[in-house]
Amino acid sequence: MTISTTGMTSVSNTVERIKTTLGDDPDLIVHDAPEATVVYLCGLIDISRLEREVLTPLSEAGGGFSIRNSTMHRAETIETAVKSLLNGSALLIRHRDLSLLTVNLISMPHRPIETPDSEPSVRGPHEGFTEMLAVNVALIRRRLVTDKLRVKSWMIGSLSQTEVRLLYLEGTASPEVVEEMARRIGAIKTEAILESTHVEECIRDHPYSLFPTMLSTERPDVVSGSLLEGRVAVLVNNSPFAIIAPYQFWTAFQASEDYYLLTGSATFVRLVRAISMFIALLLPSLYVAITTFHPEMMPTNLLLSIAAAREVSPFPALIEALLMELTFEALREAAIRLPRIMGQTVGIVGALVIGQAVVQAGIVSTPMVIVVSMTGIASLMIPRYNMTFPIRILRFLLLFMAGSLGLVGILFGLFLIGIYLTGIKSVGVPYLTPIAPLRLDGMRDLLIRLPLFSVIRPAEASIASKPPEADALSPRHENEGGSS
Amino acid sequence: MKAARFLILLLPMLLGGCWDRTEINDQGIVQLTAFDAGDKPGSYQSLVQVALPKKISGQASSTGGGAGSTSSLPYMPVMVKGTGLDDMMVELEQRISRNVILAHRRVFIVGEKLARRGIEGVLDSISRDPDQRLRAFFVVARGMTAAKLAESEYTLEATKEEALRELIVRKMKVPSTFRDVFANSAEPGIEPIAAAFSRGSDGQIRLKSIAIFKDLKLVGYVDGYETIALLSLLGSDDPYGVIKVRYPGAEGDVAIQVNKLKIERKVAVKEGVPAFRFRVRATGRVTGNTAGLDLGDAAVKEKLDVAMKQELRRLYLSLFDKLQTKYKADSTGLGQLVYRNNPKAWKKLEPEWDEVYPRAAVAVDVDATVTQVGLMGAPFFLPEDEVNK
Repeated sequence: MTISTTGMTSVSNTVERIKTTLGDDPDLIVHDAPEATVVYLCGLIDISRLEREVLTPLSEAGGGFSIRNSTMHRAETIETAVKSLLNGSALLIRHRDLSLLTVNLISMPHRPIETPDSEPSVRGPHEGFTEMLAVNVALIRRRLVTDKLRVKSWMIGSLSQTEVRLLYLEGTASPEVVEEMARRIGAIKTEAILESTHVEECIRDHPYSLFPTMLSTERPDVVSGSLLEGRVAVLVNNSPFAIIAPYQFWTAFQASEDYYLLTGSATFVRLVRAISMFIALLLPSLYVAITTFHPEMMPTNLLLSIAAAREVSPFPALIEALLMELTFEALREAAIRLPRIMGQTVGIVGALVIGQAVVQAGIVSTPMVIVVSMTGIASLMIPRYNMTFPIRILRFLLLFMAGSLGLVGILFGLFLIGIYLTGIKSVGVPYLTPIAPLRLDGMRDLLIRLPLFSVIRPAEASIASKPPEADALSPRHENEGGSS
Repeated sequence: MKAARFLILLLPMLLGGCWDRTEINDQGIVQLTAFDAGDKPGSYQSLVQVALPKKISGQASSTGGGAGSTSSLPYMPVMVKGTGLDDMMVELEQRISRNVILAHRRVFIVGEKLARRGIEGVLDSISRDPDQRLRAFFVVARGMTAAKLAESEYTLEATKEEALRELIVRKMKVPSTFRDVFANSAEPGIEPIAAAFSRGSDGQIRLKSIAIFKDLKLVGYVDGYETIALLSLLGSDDPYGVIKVRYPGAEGDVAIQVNKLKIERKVAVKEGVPAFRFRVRATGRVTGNTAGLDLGDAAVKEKLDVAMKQELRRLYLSLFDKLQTKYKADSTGLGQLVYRNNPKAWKKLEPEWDEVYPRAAVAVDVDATVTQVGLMGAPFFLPEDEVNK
């Protein structure tokens, strides 16, 4: 009776042991073939490949143990064997010496590459990441065909064993940033990672902050662009969202489409977006502040029109604003959860019927409905979904400030927000770069979009990725003649 | 935690501010004040129009036609009497159920009687209160009380205030805001003027005169074509008005609208006696030709230019005659001209300016051309032989 390296005495013992470890999983198939017993978890394996590469060669005229698969490995312990089973391998228990060999036949179900829903664009690639890490990395490798693209990998999550990869361009990304990100990822200790947000929350600066300090995107072209700018990307298995760091406030107002439209068009869109940001944040507060605290600031005719509309309304302006804003937010959230067919209806119902009815009933005044809808539209202009939240939340804060202190209150609120934002950093880079600290060469991609032929290294300067003392370590100057 | 400290600092701010808050429908927006002299000297009466926004913006009230009890005026008139602006203000507050907001009052009418009596009392409180709108138009009601002007019918505009204001802004651009009145009365060597509205025999209001003040009392009016001259002397280069020119040897007039009037002002002081010289550059456009002239003819045009020059010169001289001898008011700023050019001389002249001014020598040189004659030279309807050459 041979005793194998695994300490088992027979094939059936081994199989028993494996079954116990997996808890009698009905998916575990045990197949007796000449020369070896094949064990696998069906659903994780490509059965046709199993037939072709393993079972057929085994059953062919005997003597030889020739498996037509190049990934055959020896497993030393039952635990490693079970692990590879779970990772899509078939396990062969050789009758002769009870050795365990694993053959990788992985074929897990996955979604094909589709247009990213959260970041559509008219002009530009329509590929979006999927949940398979290998596919995602491949999408990036297709765009950055260079040996300078480096990948580091971790397995995180005791129960999920999720692979997390860090990508960066050697020579472009700052070594401190890479090191810091690697350190942070390596330090994550958790049971399971279900979505890249989990990773993001563990590694971001200011974990309680309202403002996102890392970018998440579903588009490979955004990731490639960011890598070219010297940022690093984190890809998480089972998540179509990649995380990019460091991140500035102003990046939230740049859409990838800006780079695919011509200069003039892109600049125009950016300017409209900039105005929309202020409208989304300030319009309700300004309306409340000026009509109740500073009527002398408005042109007389406008004041009279608004006064006429507000004669009927029983609520003070602040309460009206809060009411309508909350309704709008509720509508917005509801629209996400509804099945597609009903989404349209809710839009029409919400906007027209409720707005109209509420005004005609004399509960809310017409100017308020106008203000709220304009604010809503403006906030939809913000390209990055996770940046809409701080703006929406702060809008309420500013409303309260406006309602109690008028324009002074709004200014005060803006000061507070400004002070807070200038104090945040994202992986060592101040959040409001290139406005604060002011870097003029970063400004060319901020509000206007200068033609790409005039930008040698876009926004390389915009990530002040080095603290002033570490300037000497700038890799750009050392590695001349970088990748094309 | 830092956030907690933030919040603790923030909360008192939120609690502390609300008392300044007034909803719009608790604000009574005063659009127009008509200020008159009361029966006894030292007493005033004022008519205040408080806007009713609903009626102004024409929003249909849900009750439809209305009972017809209250008038369908877009404002509520309130008449207040008192001996000073402060107690009049108090009484006004007692009568209006909202906060009185003066910041949107754009027209302030003063009746003729009060203007002749003197407007210092009115001007003081206006210059004091920060809520008062300095760009409001200060206007004189000629030949009637201010209240009468404020109540007269004007169907074209929704509110009376808009009517009066637009007339000034759009037609005769008189620098007649409070700011101008204050500036001109404080500055040495110039007197304030104001737009003066009068009522024609048909009861409709019109703006055709300028009120002349001296020492903050109304002394007279300048109207008709002389307003063009006066306004141009005050710096307006966009006169509104048409002058009628007599062409020598022709019956009928040529009406010329003066497009541009630029004035060069010069003063020379010799031995304490100032001599003024004005150089007027004018261009005009022919708007009417009842003399049947062929304006395409170069010789005709030359003679027309000369006639225009003479007419303008006559206007200016007649204006100065009125201002100097009749009203003795330095509304065009002759003293200011001396002050700016020769402050030393002004220092000596100032105490006696009241006597020097009426006798000051004013010379006017006019350089006028007609630049546009319209579509064609001679009137279309005249046969060839009736056209004057």
